[in-house]
Order: sequence, then C-alpha cells, then structure tokens
Amino acid sequence: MIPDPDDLESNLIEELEKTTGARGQTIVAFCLAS
Amino acid sequence: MRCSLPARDEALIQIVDSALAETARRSGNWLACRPGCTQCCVGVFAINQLDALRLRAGLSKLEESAPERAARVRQRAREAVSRLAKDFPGDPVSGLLDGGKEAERRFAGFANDEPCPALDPATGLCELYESRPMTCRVFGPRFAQEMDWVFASFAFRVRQMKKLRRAK
Repeated sequence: MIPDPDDLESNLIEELEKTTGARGQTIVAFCLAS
Repeated sequence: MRCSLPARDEALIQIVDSALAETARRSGNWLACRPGCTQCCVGVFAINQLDALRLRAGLSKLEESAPERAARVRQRAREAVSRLAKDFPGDPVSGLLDGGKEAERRFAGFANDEPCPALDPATGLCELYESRPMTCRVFGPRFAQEMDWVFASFAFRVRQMKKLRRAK
C-alpha cells in the first residue's frame, strides 16, 4: 500500500519552501515550544 | 512568521487517511492501533516543514477551543526542549536537524524514550490528532500489513522505522 502514490507531499513541501523559505527537518518538541 | 498551510494539504490528508482507513479495514484484528495505545508516541522522529506548519496550526486551533489543554501541550514541548537541547543533533535554537550521515547516526540514538508533547499522558490520546504528522498517520497499519509484525518487539521497531523514514 502506497498512501500517497503521486507524492503530493513532496510537491507541497517544495511549494512551501518556495513561498516561505521554510526548509529542513525538525522534531515535534521544537515545533510546538515556540 | 505565521504562514498558511498550502490549500492542497487537505487533499493530501484525505488521500493518505483514505488509504490507511482501507488498510485498517483489511487488517482487521491484526491491527494493534487503538485509542489509548501510546507505543508509537514515544521516541523522537523527524518531521518536515509541512508537518510542522500543520502542527502549529493545530495548536493555534486548540488554543481557541481549549486554551488550558493547549497550554499543557506547549509546556510539555518546552520541557522536552529543555531536556533535549544539549544533545540535539542540529541547531538547538532553530530546532532544525543537521543533514549528513554523521547527523543521521547521532539522530538514530537520540531521545528514543522521549514521549511526544502532543500526547496527553492522562488520557493516552493525541491532543493534535487531526493535525498529526504524516509519519503518525502511516505507521501502524502499513507495518502490520506489510511486515508480518512481531508484537513482542513493537515499540523498538516503531522507533527504528520512524528514524529510518527520515533517510527516505
């Protein structure tokens, strides 16, 4: 089973990076602490 | 800076959740996932910026509907950062993980016993369930169906797979 067969997630991550500059990976704790 | 989620994030969630719901249905009794089971909620894993934005949006929504619960989530997150910052394999100010093999090696052994701050320890439920990262959405059903799961080593394997997903 491939939950996202067209890899929409990668497209949205790329779109987000282009529009906001946000890139890279983090962890939940850092994300929610600020 | 406050950013909006891409409009198609809802479509992504719908696609993934539908696929997983079908897998869950077919898994029947083999699927161990149930409300209150928190094994997947222990052990730090990487999330991308889309996951992060969705989580923050979920927390903002919770702040409006249940500010006390939202404050507890944020407090748990801050306490976790205090515990984890010293050995964090990345920038402890921005929270961004380092790239490269050495950073991945360090991350594999990092905070594997740390509970997720979104997990309410009293109820065993996720406070940000609707906004949870993709890793949380795809884990249990996929594993149970495709890997002939050995339940005795469930927690350990979940932690390892979550880390490995980062290198995908």
